[in-house]
Amino acid sequence: MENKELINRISGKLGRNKTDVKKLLDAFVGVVKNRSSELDSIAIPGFGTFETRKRAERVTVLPGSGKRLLVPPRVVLSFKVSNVLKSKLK
Amino acid sequence: MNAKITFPELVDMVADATSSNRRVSELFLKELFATISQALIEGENVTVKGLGTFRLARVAARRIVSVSTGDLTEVPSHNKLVFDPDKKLADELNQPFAQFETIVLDDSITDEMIMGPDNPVDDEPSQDEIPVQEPEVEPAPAQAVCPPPFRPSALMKAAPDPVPVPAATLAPEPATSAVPVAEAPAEVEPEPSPSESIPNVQETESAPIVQEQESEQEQEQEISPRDYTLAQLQQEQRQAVRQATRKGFLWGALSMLALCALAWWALSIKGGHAEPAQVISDTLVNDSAQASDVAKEATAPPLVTDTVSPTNYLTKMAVKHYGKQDFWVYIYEENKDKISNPNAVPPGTVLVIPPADKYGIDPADKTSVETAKKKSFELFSKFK
Repeated sequence: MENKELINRISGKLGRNKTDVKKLLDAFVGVVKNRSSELDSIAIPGFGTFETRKRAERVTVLPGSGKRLLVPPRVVLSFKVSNVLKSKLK
Repeated sequence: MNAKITFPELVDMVADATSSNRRVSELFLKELFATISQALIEGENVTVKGLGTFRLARVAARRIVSVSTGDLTEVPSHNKLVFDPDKKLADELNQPFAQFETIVLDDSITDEMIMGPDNPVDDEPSQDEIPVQEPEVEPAPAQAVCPPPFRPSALMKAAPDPVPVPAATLAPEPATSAVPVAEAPAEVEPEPSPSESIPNVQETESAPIVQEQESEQEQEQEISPRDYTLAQLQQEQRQAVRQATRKGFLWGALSMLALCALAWWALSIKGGHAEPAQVISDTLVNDSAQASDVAKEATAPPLVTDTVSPTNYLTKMAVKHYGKQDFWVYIYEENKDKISNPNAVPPGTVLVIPPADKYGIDPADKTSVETAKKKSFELFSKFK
């Protein structure tokens, strides 16, 4: 399900027009982006938690050539699914 | 920074961003997650523009071995939710580290060079810090009831006690002249009768207690000159004891009398208060048993005590009194009956600091330090 389809479904259920829903969805994504860049985590009950994690730098070895690579540290957005949803998905 | 945002806070933020009311935003968010969840349950992948993709991944059945029991169990095949962040979003979040690139390492660069700056820092304190860190763990309220090592508590109770002794009258003396005065009556006495050695035994075990408390400034001011004299007195005592061992019991008894006088002097300054009758009965019993040990026990200088606090624990005391933290084991051994776990000594516990020569404590002596270290490792393995 792509973004458009998602907006269609939500607007259908809420009875609001698509532009409103799109605005709200964009606002939500914007909030996640802003808070994540400040390393905050966002917990949504029954769904999961968005959190940013720091990955330390590390040395990896390419299995084929045996070359070693120094991988720089990264900040990544991770999503941890809530137990409720997890058990429903099983 | 590192804050946890709850759902109501998220609702507020979205409402603010769209300048709509809370109700609209809450309804929308609930519907959004319900829709995504529903789609996922039905097996659909969901992509939210600018955020990322939620998709299901199939995890094959696998067998796992329980670490504790060794049982083999099978984890059935199931679905797992995977979130792949949007590429653009991921890049923006990684902005602080964006300038770094993966580097291909030459063969000339060794692991040691990469880890170089970290290793010495990690390795060095590991040896030293083990003893420090452990006792730092803040005491759980637990009081040990162990068999007392060898010191009957009755003696402790009887400590600040004015025992009738001839030298008593000479009590308040200036520091420098205290020693000669104290010894003078001892020489006058030809043979110490048992009753005279009584206070002596008692004294050597529980003599002047030097309380160390930062809060009481007045007390500290009083103590500092006394400490000085005590150090002198201790030296005198040791000398006297050496003589005693050389010249026999008579001299031992004489030195004890001297000690007794000193103790009396110190106690009377402090203003001792306790019932003498109990002490005598206590010490009489002890005296008969310990008469032979008296000379040995006389070597023990006045007891020093220290109070455990969040900032003053065993290793700190060891540094303060012996100059090396490894010797904390001896403080523990001396106070076994009061300490259940050396890693968690309740604050306020008053510990007796044993004299350095009792356990052969010498920070300058390598073997002494090594023995203490060995002991501390044994203790740690016991209490881990």
